[in-house]
Amino acid sequence: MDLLAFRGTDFKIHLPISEDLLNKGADNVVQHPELDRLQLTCLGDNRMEIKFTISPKIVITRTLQVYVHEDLGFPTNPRMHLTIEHGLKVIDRVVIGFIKNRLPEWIQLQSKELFVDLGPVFAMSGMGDYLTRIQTARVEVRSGQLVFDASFKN
Amino acid sequence: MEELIKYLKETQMEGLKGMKIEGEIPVTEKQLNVLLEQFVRPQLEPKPGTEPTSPPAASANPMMELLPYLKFPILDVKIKDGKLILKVRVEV
Repeated sequence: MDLLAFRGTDFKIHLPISEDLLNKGADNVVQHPELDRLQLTCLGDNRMEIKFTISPKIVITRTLQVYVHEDLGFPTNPRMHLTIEHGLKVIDRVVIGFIKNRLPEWIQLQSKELFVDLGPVFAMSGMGDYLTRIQTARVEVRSGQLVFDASFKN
Repeated sequence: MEELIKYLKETQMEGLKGMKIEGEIPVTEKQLNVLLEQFVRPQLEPKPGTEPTSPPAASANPMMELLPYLKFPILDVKIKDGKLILKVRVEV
């Protein structure tokens, strides 16, 4: 019997995700034939390093430092908001074009703001039906882990 | 997804160490009876010398495969408005 069958269920969720597991998950959901490598490093202070190698025509490796915004926009607009602090220049057209045009549409780049729509991510992890029951959620990047805190009501 | 679940099982859920989910599940009388039925009713086994007619059904949610790796202490049980309220905690 699924948890969603129990009306009135009320939970607090504390979910620390290790960097290893985060990278396994990212490998699973962010896939493209020209994305050769993607490595996430949790730095702490809500900052993360994203290292990736793409090969649209030539091989390009970049390391971005991003600030991860705590609020995940639940319940109305569930998405992760990251601000690119270092590593991406406006002249980096190949990289910007790759992120904008080649990655799935649930990853959006607007200037230095990167948005990850959480609906498809939940759906891919088999938890799509639970998404609309999350009332509040926040994320914290600690050294070596990403911590997800949420309240769930059904 | 299967790869991720396999990884979690192989590492004994190390990547989610410290996970804590705590709250209340209201269970209606009807649901309680379904659960009791599932618990009490003996498993149907094929008779000796016969083959099962269909393969076991796959789990609807692959995450359910992780249940054996979780601890489920029941913190409190009470009856409220005709429902059984289970206060539970789920931990790695």
